[in-house]
Amino acid sequence: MRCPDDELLQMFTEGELAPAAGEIVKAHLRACGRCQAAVARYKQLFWDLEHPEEPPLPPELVEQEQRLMRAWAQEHKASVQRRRALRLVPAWAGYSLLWTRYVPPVERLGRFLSRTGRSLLASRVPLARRLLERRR
Amino acid sequence: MAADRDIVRLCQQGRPEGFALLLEEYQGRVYRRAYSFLRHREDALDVTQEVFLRAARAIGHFQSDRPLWPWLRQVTTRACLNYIRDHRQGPPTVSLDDVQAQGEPAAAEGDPEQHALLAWDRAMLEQALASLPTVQRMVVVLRHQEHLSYGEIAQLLDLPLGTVKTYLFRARQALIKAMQQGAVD
Repeated sequence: MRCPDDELLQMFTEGELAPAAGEIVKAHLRACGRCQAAVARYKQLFWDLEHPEEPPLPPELVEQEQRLMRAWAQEHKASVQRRRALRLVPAWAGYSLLWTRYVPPVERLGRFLSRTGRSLLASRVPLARRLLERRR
Repeated sequence: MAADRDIVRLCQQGRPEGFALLLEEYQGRVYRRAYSFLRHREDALDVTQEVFLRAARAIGHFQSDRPLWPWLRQVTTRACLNYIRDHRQGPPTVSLDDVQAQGEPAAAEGDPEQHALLAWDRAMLEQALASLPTVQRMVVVLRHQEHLSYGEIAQLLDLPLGTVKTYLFRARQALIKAMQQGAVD
């Protein structure tokens, strides 16, 4: 049998060959010192690659950690503000549709959005609740 | 060691100790992975910062029942690819001719008995890894250190499966060849 190519030997070494192909390569290896040597080299290489020497952690990571904590606090604050602003969207949408009160379907949509927005706003913001109660 | 679920829950509640735990658990690991891809200390530090800035923005929407490392590994890998594109080598493609030229099968040279056991050491392996084109090195690291399948690597690096296999085989040939040469010198 001709020697298997190098890709096949690599796949054999990492157990990626189909069983039938693996058996053929195994039978070849029994008779071929050269391919045995290649497989031994790949085994050693794979073992070395799987057990790397970890690089030391640089001291700058401590400083970076502090910077990242500050960035996270800012990001969190911004995301809370974004969520609050999103809650006001139905109210804004409702008020901006007031001009359409003479177009019946749109007027009904406007009233619905306005009601939803007001109740959402009132449920979240105490000052808005007091203002709405005073208006009533 | 904090559980991923707790880290995600604390972060989503807006508690700083959640993000501090995330950094404590994963900052070193992300740095080391970035370093193994890029082989450059300052670049790996930049990428680590970028990864956690992205994590700070995205962890609010992260599903708490998923493990964090596969996600952070994906963000790290993508950040490294972007870093290579933006800072160092242009697009992460490798001329296959170049690789073929370096990657002649080791077994084809010399007396096979002579090469049966190689006397390479860690330093030689590190040097040989550093001399690989970056994308090939990333494929090797993802295969042998992260134990990903060919398909997972292809998905992560956004490369065709055949290309991943070719990069992997040729990178390993090149490593063997470089270390054999080093052992002879």
